[in-house]
Amino acid sequence: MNSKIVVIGIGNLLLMDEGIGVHTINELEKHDLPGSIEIYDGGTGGFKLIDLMQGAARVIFIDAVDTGKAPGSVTIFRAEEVHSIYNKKKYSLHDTDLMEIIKMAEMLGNPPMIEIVGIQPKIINYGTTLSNELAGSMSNIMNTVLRRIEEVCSTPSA
Amino acid sequence: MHDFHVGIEHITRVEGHGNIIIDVKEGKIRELRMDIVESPRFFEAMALGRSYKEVAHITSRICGICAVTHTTTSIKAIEAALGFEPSAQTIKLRKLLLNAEFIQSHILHVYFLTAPDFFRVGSVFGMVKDNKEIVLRGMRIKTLANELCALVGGRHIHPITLKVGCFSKNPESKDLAAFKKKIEDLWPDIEETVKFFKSLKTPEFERETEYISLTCPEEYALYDGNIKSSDNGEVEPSDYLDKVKEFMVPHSTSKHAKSNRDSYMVGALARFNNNYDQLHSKAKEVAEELGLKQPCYNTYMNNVAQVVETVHCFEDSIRLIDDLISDGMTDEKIELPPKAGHGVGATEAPRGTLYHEHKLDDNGKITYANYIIPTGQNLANIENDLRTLVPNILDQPKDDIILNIEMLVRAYDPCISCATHLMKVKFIDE
Repeated sequence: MNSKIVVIGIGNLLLMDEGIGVHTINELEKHDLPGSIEIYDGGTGGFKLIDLMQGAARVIFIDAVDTGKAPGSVTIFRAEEVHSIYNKKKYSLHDTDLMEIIKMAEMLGNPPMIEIVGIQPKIINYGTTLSNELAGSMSNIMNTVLRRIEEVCSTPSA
Repeated sequence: MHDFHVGIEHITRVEGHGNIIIDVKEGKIRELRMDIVESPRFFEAMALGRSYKEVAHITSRICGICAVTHTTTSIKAIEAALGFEPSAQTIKLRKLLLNAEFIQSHILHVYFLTAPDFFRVGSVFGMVKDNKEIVLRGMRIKTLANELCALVGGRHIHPITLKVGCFSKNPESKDLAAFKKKIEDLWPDIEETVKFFKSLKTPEFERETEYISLTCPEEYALYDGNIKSSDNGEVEPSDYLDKVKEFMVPHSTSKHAKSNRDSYMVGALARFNNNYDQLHSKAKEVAEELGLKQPCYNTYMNNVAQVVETVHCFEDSIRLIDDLISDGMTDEKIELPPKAGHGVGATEAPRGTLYHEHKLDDNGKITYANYIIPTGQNLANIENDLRTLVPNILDQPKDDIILNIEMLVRAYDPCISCATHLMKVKFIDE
C-alpha cells in the first residue's frame, strides 16, 4: 500500500510571516524524518503544487492561515472543514490559492488525504524575517508539526 | 446599452487590488481605469545591502510563476555589472530552463484561464466537470514542463541551481536524452492542443499599437537581445530607460509605462509581431493553422501566440538538449570576486520583457535596484484597448459585455497578486 507522506510548506519568504510555511520546512530539513516522508518548499508555486502531490497517500500543507487566534497558534484542519470562499473572478495565474489547488487535485481524481497545518501570522508586510511573535513561537510550531507527522506515520488513518 | 457601469472587482488576498472600473453614459465613456498593484517596487528596497551572490535568490521569490525569469534577469544584471560573460554551456542551460517556464506558464494560462471563457463556465473547475480530458491534457503538458524545470533547475518551484557565473549543478546527459524522448512521446498532446485552440473562436478586435520585445539576430529572442520597438527600432538593454518611460497615474499605485506612443504592448503577441521570422518551423506551421499572421493587431490573439510559442519552446528545447549532449557538459566552478559596477538584465518573461538593474559597491553589495515587470508596462495599453473595445460592444447583453472585457484583460495574462496568498478561514461549525 502506498504510504508516501508529502509535507509542503507554502508562502512568500519576502512577506515576513506569510512565509512561515517555508520557514517551517527549512527547520524540518534539520530533523531526521522517517523515510516515507518527503518535504518540499512550495513557495508561491500555485498550480505547480499539484505535481508535488502526485503519488502521495497523504499531503500535509503548512501555511499561514488567518484563524483569528493568537499569533503563532497552530490549527490543523481538512479542506472540507472550511467554508468555500473561492468562487471569484480570475485574471491571472498568480491568483491561485491553496483551496483551489486542493479542489483541483480532488476533481482530477485519486486525491491524497489532505490536511492543512495553519499558523496564525502576526505581520504580513515586506521583509525577509519573521515577526518577533512568530520567531518566538517557532519551537512550539515545530513541536506541533513533528508530533503531527509522527501521528500520521504511526496511524495512517489519523 | 447607452448607460453602463461595470466595476469588476478582483478580490485578491490583499484587498482592493486589480479593479476594472468602466462608466458609460449615453454611449460615451465617462471613466475607464484598471488598477493593479505592482509589488516589485517594494522588493527593490529588500535587495539593497544584499550581496551580489544572494540577490537572485531573493528576486526568485517575487514570483512563483516566473521564478526562472526573475532569477535569470537578476543574474544577468549582476554579471553585466561585474563585466562577466557566461559560457555557451551556461547560456544554453539557462535557455532550456526559460523554455520550461514559458511552456508551463503559457499552457496553464491558455488551458486554465483562457479556455473556460469559451465554454462560459467561469473557471477551470467548470471545465473539469464536463471537459475533464481537455484539462488533463493541459496538466500533462504542464507537468512535463515542470519536470524539465526540475531537471535543469534542481526543483520546479523556485529553482536553485541558477547562480551568478554558472550552474551549481548540471543535469546528466542521460536524463536530458530521456527527457527528449518524453517530449516526442507528448507530441500528440501538443497536436491536440493546436486542434483544440483552432476550434475556439477568438473574438474580433483590432487596435494597432506599439509592440516592444527583445530581439536578436541569431534566434527568436527570449533569453537575451536588444530592446526592439515596432515603431522606432532597437536599443541595447543598458539603455532600457530610453524605451521604457514610466509614469504615475492618479488612480493606480502601480506605475504605467509608455514609449513612442501613449502606451505599448509586451508579451507573446509583441514578440510574435517583432520576431516572427525566427520562430522554429513547427511553430510557424501552427501559427498558420491557427490563423495568426504577422503583424496581428488583435489583442485576444495573444493567447494564440502563446500556443505558438509553446510549440516553439518545445522545438527549441530539443535543439538545446541535442547541443548540450553532443558538446558534452563540464562542471563549471566559477566564483566571481566582488567589485563595483552597474548592470542591466533584460529577459523575456512569459508575459513580456522583464528588466532588472543593479548597482554594486566595491564589496559587491547592492546599492541600487530597479525592476520593471511586464504587467506594469501593459497597463496603459490594456486601458487603451478597453477604450476601443467598449463603445463597439455596447449593443450586446450586459453579460456579454462583461465577458468580452474580462477576456481582453485576461488575454494579457497579467501578474496581479503573486506576492501573497494568505488564506482567511471561517470554519463551518462557527
